[in-house]
Amino acid sequence: MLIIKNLTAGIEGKQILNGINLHVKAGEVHAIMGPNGSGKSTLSAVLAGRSEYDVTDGEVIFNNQNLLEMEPEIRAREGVFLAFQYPVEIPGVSNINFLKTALNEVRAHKGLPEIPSKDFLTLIKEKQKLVELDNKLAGRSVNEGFSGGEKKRNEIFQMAVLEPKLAILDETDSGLDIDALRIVANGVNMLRNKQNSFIVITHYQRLLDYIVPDVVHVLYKGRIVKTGTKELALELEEKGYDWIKAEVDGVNA
Amino acid sequence: MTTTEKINTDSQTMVLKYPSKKHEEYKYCDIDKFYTSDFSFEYDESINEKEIAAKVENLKSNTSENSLMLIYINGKFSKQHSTIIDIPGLSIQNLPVNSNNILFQNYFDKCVDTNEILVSNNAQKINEVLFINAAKNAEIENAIVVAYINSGKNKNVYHTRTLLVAEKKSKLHFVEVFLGDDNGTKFQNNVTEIAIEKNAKVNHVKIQHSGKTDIVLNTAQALQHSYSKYKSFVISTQAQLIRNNTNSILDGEFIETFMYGLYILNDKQIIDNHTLVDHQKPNCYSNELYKGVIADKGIAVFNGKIFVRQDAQKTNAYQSNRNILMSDNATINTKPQLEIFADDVKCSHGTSTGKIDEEALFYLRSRGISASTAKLMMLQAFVAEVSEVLPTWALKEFALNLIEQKLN
Repeated sequence: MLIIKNLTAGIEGKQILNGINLHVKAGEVHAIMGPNGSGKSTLSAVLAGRSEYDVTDGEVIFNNQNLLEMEPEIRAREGVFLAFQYPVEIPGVSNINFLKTALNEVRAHKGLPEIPSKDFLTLIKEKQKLVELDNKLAGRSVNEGFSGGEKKRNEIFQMAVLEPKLAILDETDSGLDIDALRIVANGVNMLRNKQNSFIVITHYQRLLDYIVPDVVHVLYKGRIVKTGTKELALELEEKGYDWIKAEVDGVNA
Repeated sequence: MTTTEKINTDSQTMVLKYPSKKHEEYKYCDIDKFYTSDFSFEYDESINEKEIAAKVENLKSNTSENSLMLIYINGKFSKQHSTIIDIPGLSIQNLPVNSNNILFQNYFDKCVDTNEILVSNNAQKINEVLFINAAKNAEIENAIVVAYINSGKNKNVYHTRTLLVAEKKSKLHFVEVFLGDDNGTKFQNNVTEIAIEKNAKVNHVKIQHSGKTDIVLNTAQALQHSYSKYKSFVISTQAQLIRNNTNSILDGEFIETFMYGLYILNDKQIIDNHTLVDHQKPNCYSNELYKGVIADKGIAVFNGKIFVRQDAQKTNAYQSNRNILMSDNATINTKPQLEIFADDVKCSHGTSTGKIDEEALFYLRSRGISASTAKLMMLQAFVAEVSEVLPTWALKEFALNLIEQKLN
């Protein structure tokens, strides 16, 4: 599904990713954890296609295609979805209208006709239930007046409607209380299947109790320095990141 | 309804002067520069009948069946294109400036500032006035549409004048449409006075989509009495230069005044909206919302004056001007001008200018929406605050289409 080879990238002359290597297969959930400043946000930004970041080396192959050459909207239509850490509010653009437009673009890309309005309404009612998104929230402008938890649930709601092949959750758990976390995690778990994949970027292990990963990576100073199973996440929970930092820095000292 | 067939001729060219950028109130709107000596004061006969007929049809299809439509071609009333219906309580006449109609005399030239240059130029050139009068208690629900259609390949100047009087407790829905084509150049100086007596209501919509080379000067000034309501909308989407002086004198208590504006420009277009709300007495409410989208090398101007006189206690006056610049060379000159002399008032003004929110754009694109569609969605969301409030009888669909076209 996704092969990242030696990805090196930065912003405004500062290099942040120092050679990321990652291989995600269909049906897998990979967790990427790391201390602040390790490059987690940069990684998701580069994968989503933010133009402020410069890729200086390496490649990203998504389903046998060069992802880095695609515009953000093409990546989305090809099946990449980024659940933002801080979803932006867009007053005046209706949540429903926006989703319908997006879905139709994805469908058109796949050679499918536009979804009839009635079917679309049925679809969203169904998906709303998945994340317990209130009807009145769905009817508002994109994220306008939504609480932090509601915004995160809206991300998962969109994911449910667009059905991406690869979903990147960028610190989806940040700012969420236990209840919101459970709802979000439940939504993600309901969407998991053998054909799609998830990259869960998180600082804390807590989310991984609910979205159980197949593989856990630790990102530090722009590189994946350790890979393991969900036990690795528990170890980090217990010991923090210092021991990893010591290992890595110690070797390089 | 009679029309006096009188064509203005001037043996001397350029008798009138128009403001240049040296005038404080016109410093971003140099009209003098456009008022060149090759303009004729004759009526342009080279009109395109087919195009005019098509435009009239289009207007008709966007208004309800019981609407009145007065069509002016190059400033001259055209009975054959117009639709005039007899409505009890409503009187529409073409009166000479020295008419002895009492109501007319009461208000003609009394609602505007006769010293203002555009107004005085207009007064010097017009011979007759379109007089629209709603009698006491007459709530006219029919839309009264006046369409100024420019046509022909020549360069002509013309002046038009309207006086609207809404007597006590009456109601009027009035629409002025400014249309043109891209041949020739028309320089129109229009003055519309609106007298709103006690408890009367006037809704006034202006849609300006003239020819790309046309100059549209438009003064609309209301004189409001106690308990009256005035709602003004101006949607400007095309011309070479548009200058709107939209004013209301609140000469009474418990008056409500709303002014909405939407301007969308590109190329090197200039759209200048000057507004004035003059709170002269206590307990009145006014609210202004003007929004603009400026692309290419367009220049937009907004100057919103609010006067709150010493006696005007308990005034509520609000003003907001929001702009989106689509290019590095687009310009907006915006100035709120509040002069407050009373001390128990609530007044606020706000201006914002910016580009389309990049974060929002990226968000939409990250969901599969193309950059151009995303931009359009955001611009539509931006203008909707004004366009959605347009009343349906005021050719709303027509205006929305113009806006949509222009945004693309």
